[in-house]
Amino acid sequence: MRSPRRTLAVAASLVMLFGVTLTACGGEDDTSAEKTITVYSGRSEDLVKPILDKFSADTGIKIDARYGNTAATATQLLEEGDKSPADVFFSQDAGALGAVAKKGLFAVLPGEVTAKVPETYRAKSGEWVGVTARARVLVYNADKVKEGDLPKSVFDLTKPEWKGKVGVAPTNASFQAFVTAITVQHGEAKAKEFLAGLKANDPQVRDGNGAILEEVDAGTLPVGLINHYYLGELAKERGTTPDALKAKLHFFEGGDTGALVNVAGVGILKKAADNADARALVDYLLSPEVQALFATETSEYPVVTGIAGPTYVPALDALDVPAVDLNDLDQLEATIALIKDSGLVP
Amino acid sequence: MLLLLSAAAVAVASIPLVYLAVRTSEAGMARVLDEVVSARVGTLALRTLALAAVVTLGCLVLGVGSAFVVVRTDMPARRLLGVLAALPLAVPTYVAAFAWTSTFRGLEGFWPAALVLVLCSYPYVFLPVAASLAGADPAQEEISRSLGRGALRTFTGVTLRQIRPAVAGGGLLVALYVLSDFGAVSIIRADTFTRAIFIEFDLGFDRTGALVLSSVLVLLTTVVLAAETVTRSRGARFASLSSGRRPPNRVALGAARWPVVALLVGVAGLSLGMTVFSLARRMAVGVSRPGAWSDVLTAAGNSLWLSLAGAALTMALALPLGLLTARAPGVLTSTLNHLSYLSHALPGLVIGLSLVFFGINVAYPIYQTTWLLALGYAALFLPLAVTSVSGAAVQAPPILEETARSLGKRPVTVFRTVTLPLTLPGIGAGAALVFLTCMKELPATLLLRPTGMDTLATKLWSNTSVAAYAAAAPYAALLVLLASLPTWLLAVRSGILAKEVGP
Amino acid sequence: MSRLEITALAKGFGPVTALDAVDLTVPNGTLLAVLGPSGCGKTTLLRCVAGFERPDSGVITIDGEVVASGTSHTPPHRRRIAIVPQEGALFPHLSVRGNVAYGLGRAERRTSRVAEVLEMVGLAGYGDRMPHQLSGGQQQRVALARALAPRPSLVLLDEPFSALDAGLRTDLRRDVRAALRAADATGVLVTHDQAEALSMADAIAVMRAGRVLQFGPPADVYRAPADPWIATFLGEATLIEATLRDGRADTALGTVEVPSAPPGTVTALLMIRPEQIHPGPGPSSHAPAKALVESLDFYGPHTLLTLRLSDGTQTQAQVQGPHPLPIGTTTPIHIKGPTHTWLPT
Repeated sequence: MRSPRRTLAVAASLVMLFGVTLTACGGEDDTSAEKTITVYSGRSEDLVKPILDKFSADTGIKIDARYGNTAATATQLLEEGDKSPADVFFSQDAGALGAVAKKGLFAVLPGEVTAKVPETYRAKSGEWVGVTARARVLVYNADKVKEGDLPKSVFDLTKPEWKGKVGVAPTNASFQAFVTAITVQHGEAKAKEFLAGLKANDPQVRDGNGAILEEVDAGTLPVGLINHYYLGELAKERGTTPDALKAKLHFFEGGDTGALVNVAGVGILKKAADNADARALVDYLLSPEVQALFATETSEYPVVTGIAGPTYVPALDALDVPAVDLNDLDQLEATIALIKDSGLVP
Repeated sequence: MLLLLSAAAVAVASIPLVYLAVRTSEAGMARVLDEVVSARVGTLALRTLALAAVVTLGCLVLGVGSAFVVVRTDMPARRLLGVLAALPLAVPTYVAAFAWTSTFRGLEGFWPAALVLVLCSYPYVFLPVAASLAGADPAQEEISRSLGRGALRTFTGVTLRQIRPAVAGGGLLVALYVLSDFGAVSIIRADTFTRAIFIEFDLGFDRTGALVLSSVLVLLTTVVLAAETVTRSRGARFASLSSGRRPPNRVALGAARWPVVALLVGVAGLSLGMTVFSLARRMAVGVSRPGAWSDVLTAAGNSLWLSLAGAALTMALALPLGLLTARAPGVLTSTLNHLSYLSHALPGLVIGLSLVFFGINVAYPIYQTTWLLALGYAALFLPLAVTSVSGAAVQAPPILEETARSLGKRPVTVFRTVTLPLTLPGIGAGAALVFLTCMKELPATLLLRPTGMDTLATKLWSNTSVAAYAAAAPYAALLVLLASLPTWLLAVRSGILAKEVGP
Repeated sequence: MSRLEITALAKGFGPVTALDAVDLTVPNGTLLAVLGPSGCGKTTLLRCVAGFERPDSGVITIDGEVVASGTSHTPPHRRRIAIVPQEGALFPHLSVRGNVAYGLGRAERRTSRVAEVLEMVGLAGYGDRMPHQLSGGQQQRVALARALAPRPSLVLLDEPFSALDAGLRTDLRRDVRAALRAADATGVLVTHDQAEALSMADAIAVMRAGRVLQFGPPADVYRAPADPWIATFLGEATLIEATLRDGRADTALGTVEVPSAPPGTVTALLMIRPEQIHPGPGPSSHAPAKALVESLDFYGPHTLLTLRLSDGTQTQAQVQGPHPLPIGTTTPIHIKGPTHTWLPT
């Protein structure tokens, strides 16, 4: 063999040296510090961090938080299995909580915790509990659509007068939960029919609720299907109140599936089943003051009874929500097949 | 020894492939066939390949064209324009795509995505081609001209052949980048494999479907690699040791000079100007603020540190493989090389998940530490580093090392005094490229970063996901600014800034 | 200085035999030229001596010390062997001084050694130049200075002049030879250029297909090549089959004296060099052969005539200065000096 081979052994040793450093450095992140819990958050940092910081300040329990989108975080949890460093999973929607629960990764929450939340907004098994609620709404531009012309039911959106006018985000978990809700409430045939009708009606497919709202507010889209709290966030970013925006919210009535109320919630991972600090965080999120904070800061509905919701929307108990059990929303596979088959997503 | 270390490097790059194999086999044949054998997958594959082809073609035209006018003509302000042509490399596609869609509402689909991808990735072609044009021997062109060939035929017949390796290498990087890109395609909603993979994850947290699709993407990558291999021809492998190279000939543009300048400025305006304009507008319109400046600086510090760790580990792993590629080309070496390319075309999310898998099952002590993320970066960007190292190794032919050893120097001394000084500039350029690519990376960073560690890219993401665009803007601006520094380094290295020698 | 001995050296690359039982001895202070066509194994031989390749079997000793055998291998940097590669291979990132001082120890760098060897190769005062500022010939001189600076046991020159033009080559050869002598260095020069080998070396080893075909002083090898292939490889030669009778041979070129001929009548192959053929009738009593002048190549000091003999054989004659015979004339020719013959075996 030629000599450069051996000459370059030096390069090689550099690599190995690097490897040694690598493993040596590996240990430094050991969470040996007392009173630290790890939270995986599928909810964005901007919304959650102030609340978690406040929790640490009030209780002295340090929180290591990982933020990611709900789907990626749930997938990460599933991949990590029982070796996950996470103690608590704070999710954007019930579907992701259901997927993690199905894998048996959650501990069952004590009865006194789940009792704080109405049955509608928690897992039957007690493996997760809702923290805040969000309603599906039709957002419309007040200049483009007269209030009287608004559809009575979400199913009316497949009618010819809405052709090319409806913004939807079919890849969004909230939309999927909504489609599942149709199946639960009216059967799969109805869901299939709705998706086919929507697809045939030249829907304006967008990547997320935020994009739909922006366009409706700007008037480039007349209406769109989103979650109610996006309006509050946009107003915040514009430095104004929701009332000042061109975009208005329309809540479907009469138990229409279009008015589905979903939750963001938490679960405690099995390894932290007896961790008092993790439990303290869940209690904290359900405490009256934090529940009220969600209403003002994130424009969501508190789920603990007796706490007032955001001011610019009707109260949660005034909503005419469809008769859909959130526990049934974890049967996503069928929904996804439906959405894929509909051609609304590539 | 070198072979062993190269195999180790490729093993790192193969973690995602192993992961895909494990998860796909778990899914069962029926499920896999169900996912793969469908009109949807066929359409996606065709669209993805078409996008890769269109973007690569666009980048080749734009990259070779601008490299030629910058290096080989008397265009005014060519050095400034040269740097401008390299700078889009500093703009992450998700930032550029966001800038375009927020300026032109309703922008979506194949062609807009192709446009943004071309504008962001043509420097992958521009930089190596400019360097190659600056270094090409002008004598061959003179001979061609003296044999009665016109300027155009000389360019296509001689010059283009001289710079062929650079063109092919750059084109390959672009094509693979398009296969793996999620930023532009998800924001502009072009239906490609990567987008389908992301959607599959979003739709009910379905790993299996996404991973099966990823496996198909790996197959598509082999198609691209095969296409590149077929067109590759063997050339001289080592730099000539002979002395005295003349600076290249310059074409007088005459009346065309200002239109050409306008064209280059126009391209820079579309790629850089649009981003800057849109960020500025967002900052002005919104009231959200990025919080304390210390947050921004911490994120910048983290970005620098993580990218540094990623670049260092990637380069260390790439060194043996790069040297092997330059010194002992053969079937084994090129197989190793191609294996390292396969992961490069996978979306960052899949790489991230595969390293979660690896971290949980194999390397738990480094799970959620900088080093696992660095390993992820290495798996993603190994080919970028290997290309630079093998390019650099060419600068130090074995004969120099042998001569040095015959003069009584031990191998370690020879490496330190001959090999390293000669290859360092090239390796440095590779490190700069990997560094800036790490800095722009988002999906794998989100999954693998140490808990609680924010980078510019993750902050940018978390702010835009709640529509806090004004708060996001400073992170975006700083990200582009910091990424500009290594880009500048690459531009300098390509030789486009060189002063003329002699008359 | 030192003595290089190579015994039964063999080396193969897969199915290809590069060296096959090579035996060579290079005495102290002498220069051996290894001459052969490309692919004959001469570069492999050099690389084995330098330590860049491990021989499969055989022994290499320098000053009686075994540096390579079937079982042991001294690494290149411990052999005190310097090489002068093709095209110089100067370190592009070091100045001339840096290049020349590269092989010197820390202490020696501060002495006048660098200046001394630069002086020896005729480049005094070039120390601060960078390699790319030098001409090809100058680069080669620096490469030689670099090799000589650490006072190596052995200097290996690998076709060091092949990239240079002819005029430069002659000068440089002479200077290199002088510098090697001045340094009292033992050297091995690998080349495919027979003029280079003949003019510079104290001994020549002619190689072909991994074997040493002939080994001896240049004049001997030139005058008495071991076989017809060597004869033509070393220079122009006319090979003629002839019948020897009583110490002479009758050929198309006329009658030739063969002093070494055995008694009796035998058939043999004769080698005649161009400088042995002279136009004009010779002193011999025999009738001279006639030849037609086909072409003239004038080189200044001499002229090469291409001649066609009456039986159609083509041959060449080298004469001093310009030659007055025009193309197309017929001239008598004769042969001077002893010719070399190979008897059938």
